[in-house]
Amino acid sequence: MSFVGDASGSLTDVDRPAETLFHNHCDQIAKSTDRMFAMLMALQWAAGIVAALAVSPRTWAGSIPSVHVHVWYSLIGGGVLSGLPIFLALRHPGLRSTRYTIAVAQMLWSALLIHLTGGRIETHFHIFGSLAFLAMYRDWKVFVPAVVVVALDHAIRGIFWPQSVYGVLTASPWRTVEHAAWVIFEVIFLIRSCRTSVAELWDIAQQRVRLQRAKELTEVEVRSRTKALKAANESLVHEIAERGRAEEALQRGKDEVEDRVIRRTEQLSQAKQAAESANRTKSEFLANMTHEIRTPLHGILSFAQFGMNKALTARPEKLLDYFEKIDTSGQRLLVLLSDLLDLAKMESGRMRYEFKPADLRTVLRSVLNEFYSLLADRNITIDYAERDTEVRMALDENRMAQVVRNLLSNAAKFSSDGGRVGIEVKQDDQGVRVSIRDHGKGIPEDELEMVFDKFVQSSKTRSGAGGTGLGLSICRQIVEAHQGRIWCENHPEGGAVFHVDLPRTMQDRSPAERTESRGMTKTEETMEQTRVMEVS
Amino acid sequence: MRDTATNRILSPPLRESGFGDRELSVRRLTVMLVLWACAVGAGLGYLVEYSNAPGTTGAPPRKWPVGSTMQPNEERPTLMMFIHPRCPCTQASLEEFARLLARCKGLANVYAVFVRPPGVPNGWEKAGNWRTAAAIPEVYMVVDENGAEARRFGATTSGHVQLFDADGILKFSGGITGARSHAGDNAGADTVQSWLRRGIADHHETFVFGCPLFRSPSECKRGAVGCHS
Repeated sequence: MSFVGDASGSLTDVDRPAETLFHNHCDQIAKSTDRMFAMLMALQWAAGIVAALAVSPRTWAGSIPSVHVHVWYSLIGGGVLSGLPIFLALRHPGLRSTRYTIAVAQMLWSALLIHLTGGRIETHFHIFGSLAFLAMYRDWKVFVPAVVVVALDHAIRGIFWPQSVYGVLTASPWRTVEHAAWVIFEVIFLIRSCRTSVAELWDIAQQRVRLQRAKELTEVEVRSRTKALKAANESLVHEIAERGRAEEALQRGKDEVEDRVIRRTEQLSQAKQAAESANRTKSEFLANMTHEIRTPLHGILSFAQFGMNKALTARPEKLLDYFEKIDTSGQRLLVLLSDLLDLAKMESGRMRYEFKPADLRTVLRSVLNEFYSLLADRNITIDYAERDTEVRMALDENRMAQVVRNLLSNAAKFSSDGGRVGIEVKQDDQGVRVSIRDHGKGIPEDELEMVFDKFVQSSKTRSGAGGTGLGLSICRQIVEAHQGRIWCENHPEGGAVFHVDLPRTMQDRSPAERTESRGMTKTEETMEQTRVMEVS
Repeated sequence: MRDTATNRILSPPLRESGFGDRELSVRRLTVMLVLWACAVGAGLGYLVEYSNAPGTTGAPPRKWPVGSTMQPNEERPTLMMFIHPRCPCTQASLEEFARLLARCKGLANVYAVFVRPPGVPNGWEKAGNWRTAAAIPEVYMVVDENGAEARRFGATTSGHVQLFDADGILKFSGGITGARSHAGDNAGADTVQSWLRRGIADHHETFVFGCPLFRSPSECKRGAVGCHS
């Protein structure tokens, strides 16, 4: 590889790729121009045949026609003239020999055309057009064989057969010079144009290489920037995810706070309702108490007034009746006040229980004795078969007796005269069940639990049965203080049955059982048997 | 040389394309070029020879033939061209004929004699050459049945021009083109023009370039169609 001119300095990394690009471009131009001339040669060949067929298809000898020589010549001679250039252009494009051959052939086509037209001056333009076409090679050397052929053709034919090239019988040698001068005139400009074009190709090649380098640098920069942007994007995505998670956590916290506020609001609402309910209960309690206290007190005062007003005039039996009613009302008032006192203690948590080992049978027996005369007066039969073995357990005997008394009182109260009240005690390893049954009207199913509430009486017994509505409520609290359970049900054969379930603990076992199982001394057993409990 | 501003090399490198390549060696190329040059040269030589090959000429009469149906003008020269109606080469002769008559307007009595061979259909003679000749002013169109007149005047090639003076004496006989189908300057046209305009001429005969007006005698002897009986 060598450069035209004095290339100063060493070749840069741009120059060698530019050289390759330049040569490739020149080679492409030469090949494409070769292909163009191949088509032009074929076209000229075809045009010659068409012209021969159109102008002189046949020649004549008298009345006999034959194919004109021009037709055969255009077919064969034109084929020979165009054949080699076409072959070289198609098989060996880009070679110098190819374009030089094409240049010669094209000039011969011009010479042939000029000859066939009898040297018409117009057909000389074919030469100038062909030279312009040859300039498309951008190779000024291609004009050398072309100009040589034109000059020789004009010189030879101008001397020996001027009519063929100039259309005149005789021509001055200067006419050939003139024609050659015009050809050279054009070729000078075409050569300059070729050199300029080649210089531009070289400049374009250098610029393309520089642009390619710049593009590569830009791509590297773009890749680098893209990578950085990708990293930044990933960081941003991560940050967005973190922020999303934080927002979710914040939302969860907010939801929890809202739930808590809602729950607290509900609790406050419930507390408010409870307070209002308690207030209402208190009001109802006061109203009930006022009524329950006023009724016996009014009886006491009324019958006392009757007695005082009629003490001198009334018969003794009448006065005794007054005193009995005063006593009855007083007893009722006493019971009410006792219940209220117990309830107040329970409500305030100051109820005091004294649990001691006791035989439940003793408690039942003492209460039955209390009711014996009352039940006898009403001819009510008690069905109770006392167990042979003791039912020992830790009890507050007085409170448990209060429970039995209350239940037995209710059973008697709701039994008709001459009726029956059943008492049954069952015992197993788990505990003791005391059941008291009457044969009264029973309790509606939906009120079986409600009767244990304060100041509540069964709707079937509410009228005229008396009572404060506190007894069963006090019973439940006493039984629950014994870790037991009190509940009621209707007997299938009629009447209501109240059950008291009391669990048995180690202390409830018989002394022999406990001594045997735990190995306690008598002193230890005595100490353990007595315990005091305050139930809140 | 490098441009200091742009750091570009101003002079392009030499082009690298070779004279031959691996498949086309220089020797093989040379052989091809030589053969091609020979073929092209031979073709051009044949073309030159063909263009310069004149047609046959018969024996023109010295005086106007007695049996001719055409009559010479006794006041001015008579110029006639014998034409094959369909000969393409005669187009150049007619072109020169028209140019000659334009330069010698009114100086001669002009005939365009169209040879009509035997056995051709009616109107056969009114082809391209007929139309060209008819377009030339002051030309008498003559149909020469079976070429009788042409034979009388010794014309055997299309484009044959003969010039008779007012006395019926032959002054010129030959073609008015320099070569076959080549219009342009030629000795025949110059001679006719000189004689008509100035009454003198350097030549009396030239070659005629055109189609044969008749089949060749050898073909007629073999019984070819279109020969005069």
